[in-house]
Amino acid sequence: MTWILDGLARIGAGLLSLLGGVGARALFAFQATWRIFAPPFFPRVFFGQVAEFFYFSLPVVGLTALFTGMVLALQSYTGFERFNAEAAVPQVVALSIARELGPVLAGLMVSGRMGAAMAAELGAMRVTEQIDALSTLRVDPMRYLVAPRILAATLSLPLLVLAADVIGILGGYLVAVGQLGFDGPLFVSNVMRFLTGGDLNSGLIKAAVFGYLIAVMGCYHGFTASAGAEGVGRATTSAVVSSAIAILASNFLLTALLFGIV
Amino acid sequence: MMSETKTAPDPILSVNGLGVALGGKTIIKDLSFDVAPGETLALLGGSGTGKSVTLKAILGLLPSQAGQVELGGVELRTASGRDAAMARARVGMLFQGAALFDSLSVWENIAFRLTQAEGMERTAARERALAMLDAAGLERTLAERRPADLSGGQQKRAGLARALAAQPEILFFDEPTTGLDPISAGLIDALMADTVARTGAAAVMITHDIASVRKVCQRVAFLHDGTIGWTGEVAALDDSPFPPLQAFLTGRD
Repeated sequence: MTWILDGLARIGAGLLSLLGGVGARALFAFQATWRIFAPPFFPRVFFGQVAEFFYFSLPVVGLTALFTGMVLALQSYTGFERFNAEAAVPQVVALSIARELGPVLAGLMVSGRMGAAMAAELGAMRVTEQIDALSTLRVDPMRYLVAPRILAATLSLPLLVLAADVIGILGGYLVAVGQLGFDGPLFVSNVMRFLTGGDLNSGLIKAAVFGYLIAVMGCYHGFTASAGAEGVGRATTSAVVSSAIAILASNFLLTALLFGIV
Repeated sequence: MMSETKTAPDPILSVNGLGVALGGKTIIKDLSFDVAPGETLALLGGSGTGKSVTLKAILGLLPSQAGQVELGGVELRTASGRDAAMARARVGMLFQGAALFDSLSVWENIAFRLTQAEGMERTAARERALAMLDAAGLERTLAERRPADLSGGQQKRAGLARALAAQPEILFFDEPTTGLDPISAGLIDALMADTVARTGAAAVMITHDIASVRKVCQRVAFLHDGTIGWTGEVAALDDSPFPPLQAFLTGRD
């Protein structure tokens, strides 16, 4: 009987800990988000973060999108060939990239790159007392460090996904035309005909949400880091893992909402 | 056991009955001291006695659960956020590791509060930062460098220059000589003593470096078991009847 009670107590403690963690992140997100709209603003920090999120992430996201588009063309061709539907390859590539693979893969790549970087930078600032120093210099650390990063990530990821969409479809085009014998103008025409503004917008809305989540998780874990270099390492890992999970979970909810399935 | 000595009638900082608990554990209890303009008080004590916690609680970086902290006539624990922030604007702080911002140049670090919190134009702020570099005994050629390019002693001096840039009325020095070689530590000691003498600011130095205390401070408050165990003039340190302080001074604690 005791072991049952012990087991239930452990499950309860785990559940409480989980809810506490979710609550702490939600509170942090709220505290940071309202500061985006209240002065003083720090435009130099904001534009620096936009450069980091968009410009410096573009090569890795672009390469990911390019190869994903290429693989998608090959896979859909070999699959559709079985029931003579090869002509649908351009539409499948375009829709898959714009609706799903563009935002999700860009989000995951950026969470690995920028989520980790934010957690490491803010974590190092926490353990070397630089965040405390900000407070003593009359600058609110949430306003100076966190709010510009959240805004930059939320605005930059859609731009990055737009670029990823174009590059991903280009990857599909290169394989379809160069290797599978598709007609180039027909490929483009099919993409333009079947890809609607709604498809693009759904991907961009997802990207904005993913950017927000990446920045919140990266900043939260960096901001709450402790215990020196080991703590910063732990914060970095936690930031990447939790932002990846947040992206995948929110992707399901957003897909259901955006396409009216629920 | 306590031998309270009030050297100035109008202290800029008065701490009365301060209590701090972290994670349910009492770190500081019933801690009281004050410091007046032109005076440097050492908060002395071994590792883990709560020196840095005391300082962070005074600055509002950690929550406190009891007591009063009066800074420039404002009771910080009960004041509104705005009033407390205005009072804390009188404070300059030198952190243990200098805590310079890695992503900014040395002059941008020194002028940080001026440009980011007080809206000073960058050219004027840079001029002030260069003057603070001079005052800290650092060459102006270091102004454009990053903190990582400076030695430990130079970083501490740049940190002190940053603390002084906004002309604070009270300075906090957190373990200012820890980790420095004797020559650099001597330079920092001289700089701190000179700064207080020149500006008339009050200062609180947190340290376990007794040599530094003898050079820079006038009074000592010795922390033991989370509270002030003994307080008095620096000259009276060696004659203190408080056994834990004697153990500390002789290196047995």
